[in-house]
Amino acid sequence: MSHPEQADIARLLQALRGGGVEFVVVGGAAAVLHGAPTTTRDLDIVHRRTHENVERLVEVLADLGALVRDPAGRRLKPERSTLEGPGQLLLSTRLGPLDVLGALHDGRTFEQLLDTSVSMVDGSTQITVVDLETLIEIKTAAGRPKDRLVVPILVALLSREREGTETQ
Amino acid sequence: MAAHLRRAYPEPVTRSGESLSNVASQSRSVPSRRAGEPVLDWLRRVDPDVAQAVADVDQTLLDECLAMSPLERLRACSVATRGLARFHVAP
Repeated sequence: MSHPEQADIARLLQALRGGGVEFVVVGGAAAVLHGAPTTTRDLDIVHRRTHENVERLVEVLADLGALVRDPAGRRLKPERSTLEGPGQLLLSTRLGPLDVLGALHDGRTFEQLLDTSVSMVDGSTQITVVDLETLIEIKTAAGRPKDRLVVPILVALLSREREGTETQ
Repeated sequence: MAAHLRRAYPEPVTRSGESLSNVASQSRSVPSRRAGEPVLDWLRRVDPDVAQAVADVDQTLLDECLAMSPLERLRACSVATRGLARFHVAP
């Protein structure tokens, strides 16, 4: 059975958190979590690359039937050794596309992103998300049209966030 | 071809077929924010067109989105993305 082209991001996040995986959400899903009324087809995460965390990630990925998105159509499973490196693994899963990044394009790792992240709690699910200022910097540096489109929305959300903080 | 090369992962590509290394190489080297510099001031320096567009953001759309919980926002996003995909016509 083929995997869906659009991710069920909420369920993907819950599966990863349920498996005890430590990661920071970046990319379009981070924008949506902050309140951007935008769309995205996948979930991008930067994970902690410790042996224990990668073990947990491998287990969750196996449960999700994850395969590397391969234009040649080969059925390649994500390997532990690759997930322990700084590379980026673009996967398809039974809950949709999942991009697992050992580090951002600029080299920032999980530990470095943690300093500029916020924690969101929804019910029993706790999610660590890169903060708005950092997301704006990442999207501005990426500079693609789809990234530049979302930046004004993120700045408007940051302004709302600041107003909310000041009135509390 | 050697077995270990056949097993090598493909170069990561986006769904539009663009290689990730190409995306990374196209990332701009924008000037860093100065210490304490407000984000909007920095954006006016590095991408003035985008900074100007901030005033045009529909605040009512933000209100609707912010009224939802984080997971509800993701679910709404997934529904909207699937809806948009139905309009996508293959070339």
